[in-house]
Formats: sequence, C-alpha cells, structure tokens
Amino acid sequence: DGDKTGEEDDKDDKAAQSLLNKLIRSNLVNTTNQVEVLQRDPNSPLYSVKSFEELRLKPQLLQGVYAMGFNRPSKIQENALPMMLAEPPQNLIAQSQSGTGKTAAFVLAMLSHVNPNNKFPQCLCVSPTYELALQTGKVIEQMGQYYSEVKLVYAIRGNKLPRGTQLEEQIVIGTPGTMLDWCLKFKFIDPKKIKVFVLDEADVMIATQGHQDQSLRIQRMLNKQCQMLLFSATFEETVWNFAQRMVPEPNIIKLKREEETLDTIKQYYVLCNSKEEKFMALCNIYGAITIAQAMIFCHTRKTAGWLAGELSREGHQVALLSGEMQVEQRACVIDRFREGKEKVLVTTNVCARGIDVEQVSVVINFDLPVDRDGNPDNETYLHRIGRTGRFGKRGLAINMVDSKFSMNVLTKIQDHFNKKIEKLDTDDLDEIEKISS
Amino acid sequence: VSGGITKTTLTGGSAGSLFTPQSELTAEELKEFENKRFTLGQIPLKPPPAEMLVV
Amino acid sequence: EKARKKGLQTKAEETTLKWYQELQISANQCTQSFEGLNNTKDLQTKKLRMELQKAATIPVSQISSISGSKLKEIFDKIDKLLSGKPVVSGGKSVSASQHPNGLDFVSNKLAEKFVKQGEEEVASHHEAAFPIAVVASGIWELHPKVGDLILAHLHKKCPYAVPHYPPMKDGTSVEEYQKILGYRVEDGGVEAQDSFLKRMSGMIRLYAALIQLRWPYGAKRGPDPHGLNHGWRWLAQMLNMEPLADITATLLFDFLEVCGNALMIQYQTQFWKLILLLQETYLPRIEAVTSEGQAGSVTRLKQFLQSSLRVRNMHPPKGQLSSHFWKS
Ligand SMILES: Nc1ncnc2c1ncn2[C@@H]1O[C@H](COP(=O)(O)OP(=O)(O)O)[C@@H](O)[C@H]1O
Repeated sequence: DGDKTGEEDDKDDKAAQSLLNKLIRSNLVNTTNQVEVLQRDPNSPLYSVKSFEELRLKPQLLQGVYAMGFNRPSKIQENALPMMLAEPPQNLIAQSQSGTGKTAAFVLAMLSHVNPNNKFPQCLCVSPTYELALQTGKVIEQMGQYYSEVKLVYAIRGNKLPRGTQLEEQIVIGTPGTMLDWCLKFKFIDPKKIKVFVLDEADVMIATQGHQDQSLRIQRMLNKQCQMLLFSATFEETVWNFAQRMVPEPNIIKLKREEETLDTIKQYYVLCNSKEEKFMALCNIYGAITIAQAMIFCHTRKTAGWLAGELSREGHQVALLSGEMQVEQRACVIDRFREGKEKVLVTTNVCARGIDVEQVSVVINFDLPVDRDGNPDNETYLHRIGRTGRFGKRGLAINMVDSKFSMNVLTKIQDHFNKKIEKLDTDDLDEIEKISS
Repeated sequence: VSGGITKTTLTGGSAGSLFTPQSELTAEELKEFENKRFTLGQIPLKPPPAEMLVV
Repeated sequence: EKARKKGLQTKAEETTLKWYQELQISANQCTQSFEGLNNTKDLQTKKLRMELQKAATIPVSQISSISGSKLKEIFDKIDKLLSGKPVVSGGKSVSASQHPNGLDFVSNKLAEKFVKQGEEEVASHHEAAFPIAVVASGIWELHPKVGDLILAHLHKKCPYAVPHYPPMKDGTSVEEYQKILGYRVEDGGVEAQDSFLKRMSGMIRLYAALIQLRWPYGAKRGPDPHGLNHGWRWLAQMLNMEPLADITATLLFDFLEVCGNALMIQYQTQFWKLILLLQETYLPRIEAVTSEGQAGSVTRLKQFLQSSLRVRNMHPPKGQLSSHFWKS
C-alpha cells in the first residue's frame, strides 16, 4: 500500500538523535579499529592501561567504576584516561563514535581532579542540550556513588538561583548559554578557579547557532592552566576548526568509526501478498524464535499504527515511535523499550533514521527502506541492519516483500551489498527455527 | 502431566520443605549448624532445622 | 561411612550430580517421546506442531512488568494450554490434546522458552527476571513436569546453576568442552568472556528469582514447587567448591543481589554464617585465583558483602514486584 500521505519530513535533528542513541544503548560499541594517538610532546612516553587498577584511582572512584558493571577500560579509555589523569594535566581532543566510552572517561577525569574539601566549582562541563546534560549528570552520579562529598549542579535554563549565590558544588554541568551567564553575568562561578573544562559532543554543539561563540567566551575566562577536554563523535573540518580554537596545545586521540557490515548478520526475506499476510508471517516468526526485543520498520505512519494495533490485539506489548512526537515523548518511548516494558518497537523509516539499533537482536523491515523517489535506500538499510565488530553480536534481519516493486527493491539491495538475502518460508517451523540457532 | 519426574530428593526432609528436621541430619551436619562458624568445604547442603535459626 | 572431606572440593556432591543427571535423563526421555511429532512429514501434523509451538512460546515472550492483570492473562493462557484445553493464538484455536504427544511437546517448548528468555532478556535487563520467574513458578506449581524440564534446560545452558563444574573428559575437543561449559562457539571462534558472563548472569538471576517467588493467585496449599531450600543448597554447594576465576564472583553477586534478602529472612543466623564464611574465608580464595583485569567482579561482590554486613541487612532486590503491581 503506497499511501504517501503520512510521509514524515522531520528535520535531521542532531541533538535529538544523539539523545535517543544514548537512551537506547546499554553497552559499549564493539570496535576493532586501532586508536590513533597524536601526542603534543612526541618525546614523552605514551601510556596506555589495560585495567582500571593501573590508573591508581581514588578507591571510592574505582569502586564506582566497578559498580557500574565495567570490567576493563574501553579502547578509547585505554589511551585517554592516562592522558587525562596525568600530572600536570594535559589537554585533549578526542574523537570516536558514540557508544565507545567517552562520557564515562571524562566523568572519571572530572571526579578525579576535584578536591572535595573545596566548596566551589572546579569542573565545568558543557553539553549541547538540557537532556544531554541530564544524561551526563546521571553518569556522574553513578560513578560518584561512593564519593558523596562531591556535589553536582545543573546550569540549565529554568534553574534560577538568587542573585549573589556562591555555588558550593564542585561540578557544574549545563548548556553553553546558561553556563556563560553563570560565569559572566551572575558570577555564580569563578572561572579562574576551574581546573577542568569539558566540551562534550562538539559536533552537535556547533550545529546550534550561538553555541560555538558562547563556548569560546567561557573558555576565554578560564586560567591558562585549566585542563581543556573536547569530545566529538565525528570530525568534519568545521568541528576541527572549532576544536583547535577551544583547546590549545592538544593531545589528539582518534578512533575511526567502525564500518558497519552485513557479515555477522543473517538476512532473510519473506514473500507475502498483503499487509495482513505480513502480519501473519510476523506472528509465525515470533512463535519460533526467542526475540528479546525487536524493532519493526514501516514505510508510513499509517502502516505503523495499524501494525501496532494488530500486535497489541495479539497480546504483545508494543511501543510506537512516530515522527510527530516531541523529542521528550520519543525519549520516553525509547526509555520504556530499553527497560523492557515494551518488547516490540514499531516505527517509521523516516523517524528512526540515525538510531543505532545494535542492541536489538532482531530487525524487521515490514517495508523496505526507499528514498522519496522509491529507489532502494541502501545507506539506511545498512545502518539499520549492519553490525560493527567481527565478534560483535549476531543479528537477524527479516525483510517483508509484498509486491513486484518491493522484490525489485530487495534484489537491488542484495546486489548493492553483494550479500545474499535468503528466502524464508514462515509456514515452515523447521526453517524458521534453523535461522535463530 | 502430573507429578515431578525425578526421584532424588536433594535437600533432605520431605521434598520441598524449607527446613530439615534435626533427625535427618548427620552428626557432622548438626555440628556445623550448632557451631558459631561453618567449616570451609563442610557446609551442609540441607537447609538448617527450623529450631536452629538463632545460635 | 564416607571419608570426611577436607577443605574445598573440585566437584559437586554426589547427590547434586545424581539429581542433575536424573533431570537430564528424564528431559531426554520427554524429547524422545515427541520425536514423531518433531519429525513428521505429514503437512497437517506439521501445521499443528507450529500452532502448538506458537501457543506455548508467544505468551512467554509477552511477559513484562507492565501490569499484574496482564501477567495473569498470560499465565491463564499457558495453564489452559498445559491442561489440554483449546487456546486461541493468531485467531486460530489449538489444543495440546489434538496429538498424543502434544502435552510433552508444549511442556518442553515452554521450559526451553523460559530459560532462553532468561539468557536473552534478563541478561541485558536484570529486572525482567521477576515477572518471568513468577509466571514460571506458578506454572511449575500446577505442572511440576514443566518445572523439571525448566531445570534440565537451565542446567544444560548454564551448568553453574546446578552448580556443576563439568570436568574435561579424555577425547573431548576444546571446542566441545567450551560448549559444555556454556560458551557459545561459532565459526568465528568462542564468544568473548564478557558476553558469556552476561548470559550466565541472566540465567542465574532468573533462577534466584524463581526460588523465592510464588504465584500470588495460586492455591498456596502445597510446598513451594522449588523454594528457598534450593537457594540454601545452591549457595552452600558453591561455597564448598574451589572458586573459578571471574565466574564464581560474578554469579555469587548476581545470586545474592536477587535472593539474598529472601534467604536472610528465611534462614537468619545460619544465613549470616554463610555470608561471614564467604567474606572472611572464601573471598580470599576467590582473590587468589583472580588475575589482573578481572577485579571488577570481585570488587562488586566484596562491596556488596561489606555494605550488607555493615548494616546487618541484605536489601530487597530492585525490580521486585510489589503488591501494588498485582493490583494493576
Ligand atoms: N569500560 C567500560 N566497560 C563497560 N561498559 C562501558 C565502559 N565504558 C562505558 N561503558 C558503557 O558503554 C556505554 C557507552 O558509553 P559512553 O561513555 O556513554 O560512550 P560515548 O560517550 O562515547 O557515547 C554506556 O552504557 C556506558 O555505561
């Protein structure tokens, strides 16, 4: 059914995407690429650590790290942590895709450098949005759960303090505008006393008008000795220029984005004649394999709504993610899904573009991804189905085909990636069971 | 479908009971429950008797 | 008169192993009984098998912490199926009595499905253990055979749930042995330690939830189908054996976090004696086999024990279903 009326065209909102990805993720992203390190002083020895114990952290912090369920440093942390914790402090620009452990790393650095006896702000962390700042705040609270002397305050719009307030919290996290006001206009913070300045998600930051300028103004108020740390998931020219203005004499760490591949994925297609038949096929698949959580993509909002209804009628707990929802609503849906309140997430192709679904074991294309002209959207297909890392999670992708047109799309996708998509007969139990073993 | 299929009663006493009657404990087991401490490697697998929860 | 064992043992006690083996044997017998149904070439029978399987597994995959009434619906559906009554799934009506081995088939599928749900879902989301376990416990109470099958499947996927540390036998390949120990082995090699531990944690957490939960709508007349006495047994058996690096600390922590509170209430001083032994004598043994980079699991266990001993309390687990839940 080709109803294009429900076609969404929400803008590609970087901050929203970044937030939703943070929410849906519960694990480190697998990486096999090598970390590139560019030291400011090439003659100084290059330290990397394989365990958290080697970092000689305060015991309360080591305990906090382990309480989060971490066992060993991630790839980027192996190099970034020794640099950030070194004495004297070193500046750092670090780039790696989201999910590789950057936030955890700089949170640990901030907590390590704080002097809990000093009751004034010592670390500033700027984030592009209120919601992202809250997420980072949560990590600080978790990692600092055994270090209760350290306190945290949010410099975000809406958090109004009486004039003349002198902050006692050691860590301030917030958005650039409010942070600047707190330093410059209200003088809640004495910038000269800041020891660590973190700029998170630089690429998202510069996408918002004014943030670049506000961040620079904060930076200029700080002491020369203040440690500057900048993180970004991507590294285009514009981000790089900004980073160099923000961070003088930096060390640089880069971890190339892991290519998504279809190698660790089993891909299948199912032939159906109508959306009702597609739905029946889906039920059969559910009966045969254990699906902890599935994500189902539809072309239109209308189909997504219909499918969610049918699944609910069968007793499934279904969440519906659609483009007309506000970011907060979408975040709420994703949060519940990750908590397992709902086990199936139905969404439209457009709405979920850019969301990392590596956590989800089964991806079902109820409709194949096509662009506005009806051509196969290979990039979206790869992003949705693909997995990173050779020993990454195995995944399963099932494509529903219901017409000559969609068969044609499937064939083109198959040819494009030169990876066979096997036919699956969902009326044959043995066949479905085989695919999940 | 009725009745469990295994016969071995693992944890002593009548199947499924949460405590072990003292009469079903060996002398060693009883001693372990009486003492202030368990001996490494000698903890009885049978649950303690109901009247020995406080020592 | 058996010789008195000194110190820690390398394998589980005879009774434990015998129980484990009997469960495996009867589960195998059950599987054999419906071999005909499994391998049928008859289209009609094949269709029936598909419908039965769906009727057994789909409700389990729908278990979530959304509401008590929803759980009850799911429970009733499964109970009906196991009682040989017709149930409707996907608009079609099906009943296990339509085939002579139908009941064995659905019992086995259900048991397998419960365990898989622990391995997949509880592993990545700990709190999911409670709604799954409470339904399983209720089914176990009414259909004890399913309970035995759950144990058999659980033990096969996670021998530490027995607990049993299978020895390497002559003639077993390394790959085969890794599988016996619970690792996933594929063409790409053996799975990473963190992923293996995560799955084992999921299954142990499910087990720990199972032994302390009781279906609230049951008759509650008989004894628990598989109650806290097994919690005592499991913990005692674990502490009587030589620790394994990383695995022992991980699983003890998972187990205690989920059912330590229930065991504490049930066994009082005797439970604290176990915890003291663990803290003072057993933990150093774990540390002795722990190498650099494995400190995470030991630290979490140590921290948990210390804080519990400090307040003389083991807190109830997060995600436990409240009385409020059952009114929803
Ligand atoms: N060393 C580690 N071991 C295990 N998990 C980790 C580790 N570091 C981070 N994580 C987890 O991985 C996920 C991504 O980490 P995060 O720091 O948010 O990455 P990024 O900031 O690069 O997006 C989070 O769920 C985090 O808790």
